[in-house]
Amino acid sequence: MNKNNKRTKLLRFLITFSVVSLAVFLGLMLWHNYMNSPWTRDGRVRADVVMIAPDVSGLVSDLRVKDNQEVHQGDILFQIDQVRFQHALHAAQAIAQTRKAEYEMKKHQSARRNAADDEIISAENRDDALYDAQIAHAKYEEAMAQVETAKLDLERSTVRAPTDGWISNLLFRKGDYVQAGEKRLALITSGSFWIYGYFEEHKLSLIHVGDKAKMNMLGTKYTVKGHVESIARGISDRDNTTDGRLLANVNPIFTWVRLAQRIPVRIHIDEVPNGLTLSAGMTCSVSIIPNKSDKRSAAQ
Amino acid sequence: MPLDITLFGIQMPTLLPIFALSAVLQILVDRVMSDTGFYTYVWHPGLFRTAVFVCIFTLPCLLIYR
Repeated sequence: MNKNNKRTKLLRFLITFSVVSLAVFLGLMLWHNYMNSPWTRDGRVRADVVMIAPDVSGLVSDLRVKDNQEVHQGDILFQIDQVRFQHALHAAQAIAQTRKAEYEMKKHQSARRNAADDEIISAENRDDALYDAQIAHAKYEEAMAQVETAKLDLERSTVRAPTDGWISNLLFRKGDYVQAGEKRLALITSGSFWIYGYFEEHKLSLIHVGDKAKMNMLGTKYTVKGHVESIARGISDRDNTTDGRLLANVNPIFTWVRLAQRIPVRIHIDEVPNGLTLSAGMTCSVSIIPNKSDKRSAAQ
Repeated sequence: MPLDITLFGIQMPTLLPIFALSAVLQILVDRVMSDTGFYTYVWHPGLFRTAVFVCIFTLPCLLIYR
């Protein structure tokens, strides 16, 4: 009776102890995996955006694109009123003609004086005529360059798409005045989508270039596949902003708990599931599948 | 398993629904064990129940965070 009671007591203790230690082990393992596996909820779809600015100033006389329209390289986006540039070209051509006539005149003059006898024309006169002809020739070339510039301005008054892509957030209209170099149109380059995963700094050692990545788009069942293309080699130091006199301005921090900063990891998209249209700015969670061989070499 | 799950239009970590499901499972297991009188073989039922719940919860979670 007493022996049996003792055995029951031991059994009770053993059962409890083994289940509790299993729970502690699993809990620690989950904590470790949760904290140290390379994943983040902070991923963004990004794309190359060309900021289109006209090369010449003027009134927009024709807008050929609509918002969110797909365009191809070389398509006309908008047209700046050409009248002014045509006039400028005519003026430049007229100047070039004058300069050409002047040059012809000086050339003939120089040739005539060169052919004439020493007794009629002094050497100085002859030299002067030669130099005059050379100056006239240079001036003619200058005028021709201005003609070319005027032609270029006329050509650039038609703004064309530099790459294939989509127009986005079209805000300007026919009749607007645009300044040269002023950014007025955003063109999202097609096929340029990539994903930026913002990973906590302590997880970076688990991520290697070439590792496979899976992206879950927010609120959908779609999974985009890709691989790590590169890892950012620098982010700004938020605790040290240089002041106006170029001296360090170190923030006096007093926190015990310091939050891990996020480092951008660039992920190349390999496969987009059917039915999913990527837009720059979409949110996704990113998990990196570490390369098995790396894991082995880290364990050794 | 995916990191996040969308339920009723809200995206949440998969851990949350797993937590709720394992709580339900824990209640069932608890009922079975008390009906069969298993708790007479347990030294400290409170501690034991907590430990069983931790096991039920962490096992599927380890499938997400491998």
